[in-house]
Amino acid sequence: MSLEQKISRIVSQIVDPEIPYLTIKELGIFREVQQEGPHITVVIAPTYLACPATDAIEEEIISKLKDEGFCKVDVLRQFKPSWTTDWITKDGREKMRRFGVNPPETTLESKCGLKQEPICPKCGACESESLNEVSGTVCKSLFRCLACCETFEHFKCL
Amino acid sequence: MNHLLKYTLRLGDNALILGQRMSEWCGHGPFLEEDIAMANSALDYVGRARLLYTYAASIDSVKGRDEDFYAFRRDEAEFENLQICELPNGDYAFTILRQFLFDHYCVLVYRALSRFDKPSDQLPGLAAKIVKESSFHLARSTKWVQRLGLGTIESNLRMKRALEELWGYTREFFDYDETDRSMVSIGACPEKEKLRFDWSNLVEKVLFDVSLKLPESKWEANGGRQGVHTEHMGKLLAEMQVLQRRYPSLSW
Repeated sequence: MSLEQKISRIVSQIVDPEIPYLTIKELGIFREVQQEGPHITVVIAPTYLACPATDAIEEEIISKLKDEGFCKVDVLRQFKPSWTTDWITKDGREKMRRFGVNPPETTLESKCGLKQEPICPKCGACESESLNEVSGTVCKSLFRCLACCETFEHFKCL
Repeated sequence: MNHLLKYTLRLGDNALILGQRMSEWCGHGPFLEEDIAMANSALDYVGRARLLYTYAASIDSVKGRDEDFYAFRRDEAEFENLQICELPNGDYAFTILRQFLFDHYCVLVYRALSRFDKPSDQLPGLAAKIVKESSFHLARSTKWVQRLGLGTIESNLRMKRALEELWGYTREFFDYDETDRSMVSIGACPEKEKLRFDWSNLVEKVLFDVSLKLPESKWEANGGRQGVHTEHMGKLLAEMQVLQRRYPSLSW
């Protein structure tokens, strides 16, 4: 296993503190590892500019790699191309559903007007009403299922 | 100070001061979900300010300045935000209408900045990200304007009042000076008349649909871009800066 692969494997396991059931790999935040001699740069794409999790993720990357003996680590924040929900992996979407959050449609679907009604992750019904454009975090909106009456979150397409 | 730095700082000042105002709703929102939504949107604005200031520090010829310097160690006259950002929150109609008017402005201004073709520069990428976030903010504030405009007699009346108060302050969006013109010339800022035309079209359509008439008053705010502020600004800064002023370089 190359050094980059080894580092990649360590970083891939770090979770987002605000969505602790998803790793930064599954969320598409972790982009790549660059290596120049002993110097390692981990590239991440922040989801939202003000996302408070970004600082925590950065610290976690540095500290996890330090534990493994990598001391010269920099984290680079990439804005262009900017993070999109299309980078959330298939596994990530499946996990979201299991934890009660409806995953986002793809940006292509959204652009073509194929935006589907969010599906209630609890009962699977397709009919819901929008309660608020912003939920507990800006990346999610709040819905109520018209079948089971439970509220649920929908991860917005970005 | 060069124009790019000045322009970036002004954008940062708008974001920080409005973000500070919005954050005052935290714990006081009309109901729980809205309280959380407003606080989260405030966080977006403060985060935006932070990144713009960080970028500004990287191009500032005075060394040793950072985001905290711009936010906490400058005086009132050094802030060049638009006055609409510093006005007290008023009722929720006033707050929401201000967001709506300002979100439209942000989308147009940052979209132009995102097309600024300067390879290897962080700013266009940052602006592109802000456009996306502002579009979300806009979707939310538009829904609220419709809800309150078409709601009850009381909510419509409050929206009318808010519009009367805010309208003159929106004129400052189109108060261009040398810095703005220099940014227009490099394609990083919309031309004044184009901005006025696009903004007016977008805003007036929504307001018309919810039977809110444009005010007739011709009064126009000005001066924010030159560091001249309303009497509310000093108090806002006093509260926002008190810790860094009292304990310089304090950190968490």
